[in-house]
Amino acid sequence: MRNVFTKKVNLFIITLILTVIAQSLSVPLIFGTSISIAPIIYLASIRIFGIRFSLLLVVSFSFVTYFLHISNTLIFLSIVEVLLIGGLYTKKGKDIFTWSFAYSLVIFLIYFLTLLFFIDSAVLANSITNFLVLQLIIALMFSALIADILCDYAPFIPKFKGWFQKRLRLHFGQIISHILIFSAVFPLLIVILVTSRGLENNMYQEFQNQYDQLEDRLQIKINEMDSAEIQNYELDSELEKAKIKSRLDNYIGFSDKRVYILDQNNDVWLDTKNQSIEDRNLHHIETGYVRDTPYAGYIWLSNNQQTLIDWYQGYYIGETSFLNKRTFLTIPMDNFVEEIILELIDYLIFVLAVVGVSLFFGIIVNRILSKSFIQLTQITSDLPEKMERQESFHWKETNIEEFSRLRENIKKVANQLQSMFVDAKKRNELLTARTNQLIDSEAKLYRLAHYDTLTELPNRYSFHIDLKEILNEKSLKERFAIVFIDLDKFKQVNDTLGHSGGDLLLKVFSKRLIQFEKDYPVCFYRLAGDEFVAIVTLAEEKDVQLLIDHMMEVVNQPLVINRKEMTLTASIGISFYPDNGKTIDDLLHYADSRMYEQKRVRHNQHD
Amino acid sequence: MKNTRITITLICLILLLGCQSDALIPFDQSSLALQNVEEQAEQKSDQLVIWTHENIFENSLPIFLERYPDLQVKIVPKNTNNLVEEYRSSLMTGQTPDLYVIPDEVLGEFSSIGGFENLYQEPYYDEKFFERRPEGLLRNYINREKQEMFAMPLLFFPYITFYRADILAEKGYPSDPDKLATLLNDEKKWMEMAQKLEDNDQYIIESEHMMLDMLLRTNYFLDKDYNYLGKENDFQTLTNAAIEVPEKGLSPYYNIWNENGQKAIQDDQLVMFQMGSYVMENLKEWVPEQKGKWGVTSMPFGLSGTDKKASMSIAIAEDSDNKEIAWEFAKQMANDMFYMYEQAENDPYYINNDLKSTFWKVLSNDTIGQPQPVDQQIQFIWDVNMKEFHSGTEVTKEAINKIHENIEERIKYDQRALKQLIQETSEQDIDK
Repeated sequence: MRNVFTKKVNLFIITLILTVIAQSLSVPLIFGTSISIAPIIYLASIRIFGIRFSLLLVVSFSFVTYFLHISNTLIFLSIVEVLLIGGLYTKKGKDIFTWSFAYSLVIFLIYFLTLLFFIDSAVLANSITNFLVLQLIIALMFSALIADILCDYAPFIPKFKGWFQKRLRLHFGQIISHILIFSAVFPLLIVILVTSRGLENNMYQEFQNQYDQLEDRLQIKINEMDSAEIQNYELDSELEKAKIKSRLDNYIGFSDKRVYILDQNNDVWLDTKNQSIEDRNLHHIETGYVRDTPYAGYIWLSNNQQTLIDWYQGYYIGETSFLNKRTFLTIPMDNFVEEIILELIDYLIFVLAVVGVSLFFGIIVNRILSKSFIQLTQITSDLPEKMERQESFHWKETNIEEFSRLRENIKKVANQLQSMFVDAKKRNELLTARTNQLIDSEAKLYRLAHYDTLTELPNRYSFHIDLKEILNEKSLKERFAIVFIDLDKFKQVNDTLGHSGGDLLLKVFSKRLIQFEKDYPVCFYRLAGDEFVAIVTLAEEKDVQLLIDHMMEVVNQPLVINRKEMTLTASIGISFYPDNGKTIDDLLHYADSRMYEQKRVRHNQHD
Repeated sequence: MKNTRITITLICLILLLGCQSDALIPFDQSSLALQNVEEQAEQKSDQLVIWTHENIFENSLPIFLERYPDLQVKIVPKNTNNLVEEYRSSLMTGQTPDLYVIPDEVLGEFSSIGGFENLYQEPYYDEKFFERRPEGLLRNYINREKQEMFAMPLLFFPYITFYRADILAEKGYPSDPDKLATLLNDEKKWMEMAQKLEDNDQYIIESEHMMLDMLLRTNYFLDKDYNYLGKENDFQTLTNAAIEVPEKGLSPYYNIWNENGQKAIQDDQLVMFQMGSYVMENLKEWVPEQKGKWGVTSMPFGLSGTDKKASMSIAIAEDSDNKEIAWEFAKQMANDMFYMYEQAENDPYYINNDLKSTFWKVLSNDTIGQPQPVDQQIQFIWDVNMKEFHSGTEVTKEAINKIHENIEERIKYDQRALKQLIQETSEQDIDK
C-alpha cells in the first residue's frame, strides 16, 4: 500500500513539474497572451488519472505558477475548467473536447450577458475582452482536442500502454474527425502566431518610426537654434519651452503621443500634454515595469503581470536627449493594441468557424462512414442467416461509390455463396441420406454379424470375440465361468410344435435369458440350435451355482407355445477360468463335456 | 538508468526556463531610471558674493556687517554692456555669486529662466516685508499662477511729473499735485494746457521723443499673457499725444540733461517734464532759485512706472551656498532703499505737503505690462526707430503703426508659442 501511495505521489509531483514547465515554456502569442501546452496535460490527466488527481494538479499548478510570476491571475480559471469539464466527463463520458465545447458555449453566454447588462460600465474596449474570451476558448478547445487525441492514441504506443488501464477501440469516424479538425485548425494557429508576431513587429516598427521622427525634429530644432536660444534652453527659459513645445505640438498633432523633457533634477520641464505646475514628476511611470523592444525604446506596463489589459494600458517609452536634457517619448499603446487585437479577432473568429465547420463535417463524415460501415456490418451479419434461409439479398443503396461497389461485390459473393450453399446443402442432404443408409446398413450388418436373428442374443461370433477380450484382460487374474446350456429334448419339441413352434420356444427362452441378464453378472450367447452359452463374471463356484439355480428357476417356468403349455429344462455345464482351461476351446470343451455329463446323468435318471 | 534519464530531462527543462526572455524589470532598474539628483548639502562659506553693475551698498553695508561680523562681502562690479551674457553664462555653468543685481531694463532676460531662488515661497516669503511695499511695485516680479518671484525691487525711481506749480496756478491750472494729476490724466485737457501754455512760449514736455522715451522707460509691452499692449489704450493715448504734439508745434525739443533744457527750466519755459524721481536732487542743483515753485505728481495719461534704466532688482542664485544670509542682505538693502519712499520727508524745495503719499500713489499704480523674455527684441525695434526719430524722422501715426507692425511681426512666433503655453496651462489648472 505504501509503495502504491509513494508511486502516486511521485507521479503527481512529476506531472506537476511538467505542467509548470509547460506553462513557463508557453509560446508567446501577443501582448502577454500565450499558447501553453499545460492545459493539454491537466485535461489529459482527467482521462488518464481521474478528476481528483487532475483537480489537485490544476490547483497546485495555478498557485505555483502564479506565485512564481509565470502566470497572471487568469490562470485560476483553469481550476474552473477542470472542475466543470472533468465533472461532466466523469459523469457523462464522451470526450474532453465535447465538454470543452459545452463549457465554451457557457463562457460565451455569460460573457454576452455581462456585455448586455453591464456594457455601460465597461472600462475597457470590448475588443480586448472579446479577444481574451475568444483566445481562452480556442486555446481550451484545441488543448482539449490534443488531450483527447493523446488519450485515444497513446494506449496504442507500446511505451505508454502501461499508463492506461483500458484501451478502447477507435472508431474510424473518430479518427477522421480528429484528423479533419486538427489539420484544419493547427495551420491556422500557426498563421495566427506568425501574423501576430508580424503585427507586433509592425507596431514596434511604428514606434521606432515615431522615435526617429522625434529625433529628427529635435535635431532640426537644435540646428536652427542660435547660441542665445541654446542658452535660453539651458536656463529653462519659458520662451524656449514655448517654442520647443510649439514644435513638438506639430510633431504630435492629434495623436496621443507625449514628450517629456526633464530638467537637471529629473523633474518634468516640458510636458506636451500637461502644463500644470503641480505634476512636475514622472512618479506614475516610475512605479511601473519595462521591457525591451526589438528596436530602441521600452514597453512600459503598470505591473509585472503582463496581461492584455496591462498592455492596453501600457506605453512605449523611448528616450533621447535634447541638448543636455533627457527627453522621453511616450506613446499610449491602447490604439495599437486595439487595432492589432481587432485584426486578430477576425482570425480567431475564423478559427472558430473552421473548428465549427470541420466539426460539422467531421460529424457528417463520421455519420456517413458510420452509416456505411453499419450497413456493411449489417450486410455481413445478415449474410449467414439469409444464406441459410435462402432468401434473396437486398440491402439499402448507398450514395458512396466505394461502399456501393463493396455492397455489389458482397452481394455477388453472397449470391454465389448462397447458390454454393444450396448446392452444398443438397449434396449434404444426399450425403447425409446415403451416410445414414450406410450407417443403417452397417448397423444391420453388425447386427447380423454379432447377433442371432431369431433369439436376438449375441451369436457364436460375439461369444468368441467377447471371451477373447475377457481372456486378454483377465489372462492372469480373475476367475470367471463359462456356462454351457443345452435345452433338453429340443428336437422332440421342435418335432411336436413344428419349426415355427420351435423358433417360438427359442424366442421365449431367449427373452427370459435377456431379462435374467439384467439382474445378474451374466451374458448369454446362442451358439447354435438349442445350445447356449453364458459368461458369468463370478469367481466362486457357489456363486456361479447360485446364479445357475436362479437361472434354471426362470428357465423352468412354464410357457405356452401354440396353446400348449410346457416346461423347459436345460442341461448345464460349467467351466472355470483358469481352472478348467485357459483358452476358449478348452473352456468350451470342458463346459460342453460337463453338460453332456449332466445330460447323461439326467437321462439315466429318467430311465 | 531510467531515473537518471528522467532527472536529466527535468534539469534540462528547468534550465530552459532560464532562457525565457521578454522579462519585465522595474522601471528604476532600467536605463530609463530617474536617479534622484542628490541635493548637495549647502556648504556654507564665509563669503557673500554680489554681482552688480553699480555698487549702491556702500552706505548700508557696514550695518549689515555688524550683524555678520565673520562674513566677508565681496561686491563684484559688472559691465552693463555684457552683464546679461555674464549673468546667464554663470547660471548655466553654476559658477554663480550669491546675489545678482539686475538692471530693470534687462529684467525680462531673467524673468522666465531658472537659476534663481523663488522668493515667493519658504524660506523666503516674508509677509511683513512684502506687505510694506506697494503691490504695483511687486507685480512685475510675481507670477501668481506659478507662485514664483524670481527677484525683488532693490532700488527704484518712479517716473514723476515735475511741474512749476506757480506758473500753472497763474494760468488757472491746479497746483495741487493730486488735482493736477487728475487733469493730466485727461488727454484732452492735457493738450489744451499744452496749447495754452505754448501761447506764452511755455512747454509742458521736452519733446515728443521724450514722451515716447518716458513710455519706454516705465512700461513693458507685453502683459502676463504675452498680449502686445502697444496698440492698447494706455499706450495709444501717449503715442497719439506724441504724434499730435509736433503737429501742433507743442514740442520745444528741450533736453533737461543738456544746456538747452536746463536753460529752458531757468527761463521758465520748460514748466513741466517727466523724469525719474532722482531728478529731484538734480533740479535743486540746476535751479536752486526756483525753490518752492516746483511740485511733483504722477505721470500724465494715467501712466505710472519706475525708470527701468535707473532701477535695479536683486535675486538670489539657486547655487548660492549662503542663501539665508543672501536673503538677509537683500532684504536689508532693499529696505534701506525703500526708506527713501516709505519714510520720505517733505522737501522744502517742492511744494508737496505729502511727498510720501505722492510717491506711494505713484508706486501703487500698476505699470503697463510685465517684463518678458522678448522685451529686448521689442526694445531693439524701438531703439532703432527712436534713433531715427531723433535723427529727424517725424513721429507720425504711420511711423508708430509701422513700429507696432514690426514688433508684432518680429515676436509673433514667440508670442504665439508663449500664449499657447499659457493658455494650456490655465486650461489644465481650471480643469483641476
